[in-house]
Amino acid sequence: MNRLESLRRYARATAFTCLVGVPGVAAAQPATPAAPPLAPPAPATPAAGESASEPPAAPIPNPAPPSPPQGPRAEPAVAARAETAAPSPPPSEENKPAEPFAFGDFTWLNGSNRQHRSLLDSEIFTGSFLLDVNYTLSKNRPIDNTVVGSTALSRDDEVTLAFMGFGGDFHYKGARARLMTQFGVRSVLVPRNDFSAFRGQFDLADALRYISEANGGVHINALNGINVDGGIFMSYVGLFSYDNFENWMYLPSFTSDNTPWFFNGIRVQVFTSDKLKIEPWLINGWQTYGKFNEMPGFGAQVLWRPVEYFSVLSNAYVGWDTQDLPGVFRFHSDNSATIRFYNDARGGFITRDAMSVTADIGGQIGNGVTAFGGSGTEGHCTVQSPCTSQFLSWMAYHRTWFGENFAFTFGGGMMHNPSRYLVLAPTGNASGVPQNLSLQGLSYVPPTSPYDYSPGAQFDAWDYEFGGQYMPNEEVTLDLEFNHRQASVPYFSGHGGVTSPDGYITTATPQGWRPDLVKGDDRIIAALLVRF
Amino acid sequence: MKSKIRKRGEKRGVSFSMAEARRHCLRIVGVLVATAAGFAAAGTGCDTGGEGDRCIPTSGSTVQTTNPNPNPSGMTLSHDFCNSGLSCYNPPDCPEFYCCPANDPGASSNPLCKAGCAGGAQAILFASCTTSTPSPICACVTLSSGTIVATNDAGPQCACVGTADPVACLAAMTVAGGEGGAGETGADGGAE
Repeated sequence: MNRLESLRRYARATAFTCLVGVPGVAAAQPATPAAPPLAPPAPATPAAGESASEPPAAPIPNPAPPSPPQGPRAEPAVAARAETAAPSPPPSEENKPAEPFAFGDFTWLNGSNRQHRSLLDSEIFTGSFLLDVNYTLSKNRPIDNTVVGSTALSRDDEVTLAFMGFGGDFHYKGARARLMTQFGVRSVLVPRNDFSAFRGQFDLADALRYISEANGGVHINALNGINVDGGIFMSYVGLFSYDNFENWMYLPSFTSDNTPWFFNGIRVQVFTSDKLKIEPWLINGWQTYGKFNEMPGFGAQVLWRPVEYFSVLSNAYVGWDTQDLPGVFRFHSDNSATIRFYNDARGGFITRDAMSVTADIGGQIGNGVTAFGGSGTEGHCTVQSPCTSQFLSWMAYHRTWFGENFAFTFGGGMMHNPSRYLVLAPTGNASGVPQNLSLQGLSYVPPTSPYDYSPGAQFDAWDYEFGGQYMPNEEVTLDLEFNHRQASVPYFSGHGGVTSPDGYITTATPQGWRPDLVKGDDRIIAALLVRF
Repeated sequence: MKSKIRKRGEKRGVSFSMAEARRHCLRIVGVLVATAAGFAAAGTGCDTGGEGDRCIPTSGSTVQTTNPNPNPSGMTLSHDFCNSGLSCYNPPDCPEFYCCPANDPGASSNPLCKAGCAGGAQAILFASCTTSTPSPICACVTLSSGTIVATNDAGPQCACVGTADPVACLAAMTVAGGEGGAGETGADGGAE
């Protein structure tokens, strides 16, 4: 098929999809050979969110790359079951339940591993190595080289080792475990957002900062597979994966950046069929190592992939995550749909085209705040006149593949978060929360104009981004993108930075010195991502 | 050319034609052009040290002697990175340095170049609220994380809250009080 024909076909398919809906989409993906599950679909059943990351649960021999994380994190699903089987006689091949999500190739999904095979695989262990190096340059050029408001970016105008982790999945009979270490700036950048570590002793943030995932459990041969795990596991709230190798863009919109990357607790992954996973959680809190109050958090994830070109991911959470306010009840609902409009790997200028849409709604109720219809104002939030404390957001991305090696993505989103309970705290002198000693043993000066976290404080933000990825092989991705973020209040790091007058923490700060926060941030981002 | 490409491909166990190679190049160029066009459209150019931007003082920067400890480290940068026609300037009653017109910084219309630097004077006073010698203005406000969440009528000095330069306002009030006129200073008294 020549390029023109291919483009025509793509245009027809897209138009048809718009008019007719999903059935049209199906028609647009003819060429793809019945998606042979490329890769042994994530090793074991993917579980959660889908990200591939998770390694299969048990035994699957040579599973494909354990897909990372998110989504379905592969937990070993069916495969595992076959071998696991302990007590009951192993089901015959014909009666063996289908392996979850193994009927299609889901490597195209946002937040899923795009690899089709695992290089570091053996009978009982599937190894994994992740490297994430980035360079970003803000138009604000902060003199302290510090990025504010992101969990993906940390240092400006410097080559930064954002993440380096190694580990893997252990799988033997019905036993399973996953360990992923975490080094690089993210080992500081992410734990700093967990204020539960300030409760009590033993410095949870330091104790756990070098672990991104550590969980273990058992696989049960029931239904299409059941996994029971305890430990720290990825959340996949907000669709994007914690491992940027799996994402369509490097810097996600607020909906993903401001929602949890991990949970600490227990999860049960139930695969009721090869197309549906239901995963309840009992966890310490909303991306917390510890617990804020007396009650734990509860949540669940539902992942449904009826066909190869369509995936739905939904996460729900309830908990009590406010210091000294055990009466503040938090709820959150995160919902994503990803659809592939077109897929023809056999040639043509455009080989694949897909889109993801995510919408979140959440809020807090009690002790002077309410999710909807609050009448109070900042500084005057009372039980009788509560302030609004809610989180409404959305984000959408569109990605087009040019062959197997190139892809272009654009997208953006918005976030509305009065009371700012999910806004990532600015750092340095702009922080509204205690700043520990620096690693050099120097203490930050007390904040003179910290970011305001009071109930009732307003916060709205939006962003858009676009960029390309070059994927020379299944193990390496080069990313180049542009990102614009805008907030309704000064929030991002301006030229003066958030550290001190000259940007160094060793420089004395004048009384009343204010961190330089601005409302807008334009930046370019380049990243090198490697995964084995 | 064609045969070279074919040979290379065959060596790797892949065979591809000139047309395929051209298509591959087209994809590369297409993605690069789209990305470059996007960056150009977004205008990510550099603009160092515009009026009102923060700056690091040089040895020649004007430091207001009236400011409480404006440059405690005595830091000086080896070069002035403010744009041409601007210099790194410390406005009166301001804890920071800004790029302002070199010849007459106070004449700038940018509030960050004026006395009090758009909230800077107030920040100096509020920073004292948690010390053993709080400013009289601290009694006029209830702060939460450095932000005013309520105002209190605690005396005539409260008229200075929200003025362009509350430090100067309080000073003027003190002088006026010494002359027997306390409380008669208007909200903007002495700010300019």
